[in-house]
Amino acid sequence: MKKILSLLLACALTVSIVGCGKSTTGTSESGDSGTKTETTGGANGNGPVELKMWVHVTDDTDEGKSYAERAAAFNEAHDDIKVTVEFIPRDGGGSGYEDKINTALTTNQLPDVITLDGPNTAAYVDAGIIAPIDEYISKESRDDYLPSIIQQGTVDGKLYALGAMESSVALFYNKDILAKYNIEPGTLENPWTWDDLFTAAKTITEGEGYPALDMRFNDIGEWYIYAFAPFIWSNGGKIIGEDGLTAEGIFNSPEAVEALTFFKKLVDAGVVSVTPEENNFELGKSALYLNGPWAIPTLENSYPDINFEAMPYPVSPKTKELHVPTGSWQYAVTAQSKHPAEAAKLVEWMTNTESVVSITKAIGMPPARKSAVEFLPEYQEGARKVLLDQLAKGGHARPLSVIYPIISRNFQEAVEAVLYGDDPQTVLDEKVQVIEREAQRYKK
Amino acid sequence: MLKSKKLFGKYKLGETLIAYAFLAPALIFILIFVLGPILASFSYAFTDYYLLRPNDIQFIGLENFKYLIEDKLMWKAFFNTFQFIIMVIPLQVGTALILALLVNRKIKFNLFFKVSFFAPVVMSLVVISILWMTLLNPESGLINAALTTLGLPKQPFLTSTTQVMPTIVAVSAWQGAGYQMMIFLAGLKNIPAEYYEAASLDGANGWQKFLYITLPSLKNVTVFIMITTLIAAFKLIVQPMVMTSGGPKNSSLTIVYYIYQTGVRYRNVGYASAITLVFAIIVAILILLQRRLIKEED
Repeated sequence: MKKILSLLLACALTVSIVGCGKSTTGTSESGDSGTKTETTGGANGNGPVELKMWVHVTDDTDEGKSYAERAAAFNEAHDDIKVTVEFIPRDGGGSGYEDKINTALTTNQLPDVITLDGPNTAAYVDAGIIAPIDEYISKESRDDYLPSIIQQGTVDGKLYALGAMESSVALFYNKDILAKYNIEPGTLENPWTWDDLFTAAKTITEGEGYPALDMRFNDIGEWYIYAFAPFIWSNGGKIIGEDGLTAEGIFNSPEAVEALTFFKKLVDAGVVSVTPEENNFELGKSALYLNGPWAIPTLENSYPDINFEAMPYPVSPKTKELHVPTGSWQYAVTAQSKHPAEAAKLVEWMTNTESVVSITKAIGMPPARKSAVEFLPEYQEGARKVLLDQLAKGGHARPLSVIYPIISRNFQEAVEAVLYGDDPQTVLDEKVQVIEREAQRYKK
Repeated sequence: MLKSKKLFGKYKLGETLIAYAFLAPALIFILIFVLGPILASFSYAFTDYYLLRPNDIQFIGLENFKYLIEDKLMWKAFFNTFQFIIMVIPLQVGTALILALLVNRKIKFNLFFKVSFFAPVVMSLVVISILWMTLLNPESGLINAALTTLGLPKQPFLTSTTQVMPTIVAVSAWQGAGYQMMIFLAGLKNIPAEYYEAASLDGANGWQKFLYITLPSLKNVTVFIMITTLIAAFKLIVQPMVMTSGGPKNSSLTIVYYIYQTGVRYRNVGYASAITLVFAIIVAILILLQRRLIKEED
């Protein structure tokens, strides 16, 4: 017994050794590298330009493997540039990787290329962490990206970042249940309006005796603004002003109030649960499920009995305009880089057709380039095609703002408060005060 | 001369130097990793330090503190933290005392119980939080299933603005009580058996023995436990971070969690430091008060 106790204690005291990051030079050059550098050389014949790139995943993940492989291919294709990739885990809440960037910023030790999450773009531009890459990216190349990728990476009319993958949210549905109630799913040309969604959800809820719609309201955090902001956009509203700092009259506009009132209507009618049961769609209990591409592999592999499909994101009955969530990690050249031209080449390489195909195959997120689709048969049909098509038609990046984290939090709190019964107008007015107060620090 | 006399006391200069030399490694570490950051953080409280602009820090005087007074969310976090402390201290210390009394008896499988009660203390808080989230799930959790079997209504637990704090209190007390139990146990072992024998001769029953012998003898241990539990309770962050993200409607947002969010997520290091400073002062006052109160009772 004493042994067990001491064993338990030993377990507790064991310090898990966490590496800060691993580097691999993704080179596959063989013994003749010496002659290579001599013959081609850099601009001054001083050997290849050395580039450093940081990515936010470890090299034992599928995503990390894809990055390592594509970086190696880059070195293979460019005799005059040599890139070294450092793999830095994000840790909980993304703080590990971002902490390292913050520290490196203080000590001027940023690499040439970094990865960054979409909503960070404006803050990183404002802080002078990343530099524009307009002059290095050709127009043909730029037109091949999904519009939402360009929107996400552009601040004040200048392009700063490019991504290889996208993300989105669609309305997944259980084909069998919809057929049972003779409900026609929405299409890209004719998506469901909020009213269609409400009527369908009400019919099914009454018939099945279980909330028909799961909007993942239990996922409190970034999910809220990411997944629900399109309700406001589709209704003709905005989250924040063009300057990224004005909330009065925008965050609490009538359009926003209407969108939040619609959530309230769904909750009051009992067609959506504020605290949905785990996996209720996967188990065939609910019929409609607002979720992203990551839900597909789970459904296909673990719940083969569920006959599911996806339809585009519901639209406001007022405008019928399709706006869908977007955003993912992207690459950018840092302002500290001494080789911006070469670094921009690397950014474009990491997001070229081959790289996009590679990353989509690795983790299944929608491809960021139109030209990649022909190499990805899974994105030519079914739920994945719906996600991709709606991205091309109505992709809308989250607001670009220095105070984005504050906006995201207040949006989440506002929706949450409404779900718990507060009045939408009052709540939004209150949150505007908070955002405006915070914005005051940055208005100079 | 006078100063050096005080510093070195009755020891010779050589001995004193050796003593400081031995202390040096620890002192240097404390200076660099404890005192340094504390002082830096206090000085940031008067600046507009933004995490992404480390080379452009402006002194802004008391701006942060003015802002702080109007910050409703921060007051809510303070209120939540105090709510937690007021509930968790009696519950956790009481549970620990009962557990200690139970395992102090000579019963079978005594060690097994001790290890079981202590096990949550050595487990990772994140693991425990995730475990309880599963148990507390309003729809499919084991606890609600048990309640339904007993004919009681299902409870929302972590998804209710009023139940979330008591739930976190219960989980935290369950997790931490084992540690205090061990300390109480050590205290119990120190009470001489003669006291109880004498009391038995005088005809005292079990309850009287507990009231007039056990409790007074545990006084010092209890003071120690109260203070350590209070300090630990102020630092509550992991449970709400993992289980509720501070929700619903910020009902489980604690002050340390809010400081973390302000400094790391919103990158407002200056403002986060200002909250930390105010928080540190309040904690210090409370601990001094608590010690005073307990001492006066002597």
